[in-house]
Amino acid sequence: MIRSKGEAGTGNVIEAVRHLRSITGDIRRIGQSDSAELFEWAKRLQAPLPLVQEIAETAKLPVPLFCAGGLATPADAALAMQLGAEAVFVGSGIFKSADPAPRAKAIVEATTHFRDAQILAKVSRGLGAPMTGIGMDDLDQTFADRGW
Amino acid sequence: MKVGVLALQGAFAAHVATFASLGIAAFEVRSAEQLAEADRLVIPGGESTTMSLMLQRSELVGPLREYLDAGHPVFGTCAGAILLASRIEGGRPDQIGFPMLDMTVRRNDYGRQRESFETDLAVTGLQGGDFHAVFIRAPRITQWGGSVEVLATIDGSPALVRCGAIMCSTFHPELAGDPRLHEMFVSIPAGTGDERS
Repeated sequence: MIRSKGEAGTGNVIEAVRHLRSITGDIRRIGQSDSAELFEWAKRLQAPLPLVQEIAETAKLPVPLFCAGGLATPADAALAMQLGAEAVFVGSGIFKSADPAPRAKAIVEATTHFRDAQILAKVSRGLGAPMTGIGMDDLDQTFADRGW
Repeated sequence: MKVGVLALQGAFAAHVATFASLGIAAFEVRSAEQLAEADRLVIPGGESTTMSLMLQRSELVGPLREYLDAGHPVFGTCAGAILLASRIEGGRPDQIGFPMLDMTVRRNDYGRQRESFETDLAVTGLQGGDFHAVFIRAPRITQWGGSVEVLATIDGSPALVRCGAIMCSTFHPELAGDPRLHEMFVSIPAGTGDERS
């Protein structure tokens, strides 16, 4: 699997969207590159050329792309799926909310039915307070820049 | 032909891609309305208790029972085969089943994830040689009735079976890069379900 990182533990969906878009954007750019440019991509990404060629051909990663870091609501999960994530992972978004169990259940349903606005509206009701998001300016050090 | 792939959980995307390689635009099924659009259905591999839970939450249990009773062709793979078996061993007591095939399946009987394996199977009536079968935490069909036609076996247990319009495999045919079993499934004439005894 490849995980889009977002900014873990913040409930800040902006970072999740930014990272996901950077991955799916690069996949699209790779798809439009000619064979010489694919060499350049392989060099830049430090990835084996056949892998880059496969991505260019299939327009997707050979492993599931999952989105994590900054998701806190059913709508966040559905948004990530609509932007091209194949799975989502939600940690503190569930456990730092007022009532984790129904929120977890609602996020599962929102991920399955991510294109169905009526179901998204239904499962998003009555979940209690979500975790409070943390703005990027309030962080001394971001996980995203630190690496792992 | 309108082929639906149940897309609540599991390996639905690979099934849709396999049908696309045959020039068939299969679509994902997540609601009763989408199910009603399909004239045949794939229930993919995944995790059968999760799928059972998602079927309940998506209010699809009743519509799927009616769909199966109407005799539409259905292909259950891995977890899909578990859902269509009349008896499930090692399931959860609250797990929903759709007993269409007179057989007993035992969940995860070939071992855990580490023991997942690939092998070539001889399939009755399949042209072009053996089929490369991917078994992932696969269920084993331990007992089966006379109405169940066995099309391929592994270690003496059925791996691919058919009864009327229902086909089931304990492996993942959508991961083989070989659409021949999907071709076999779409060649089942609609309405064959009446043969079911």
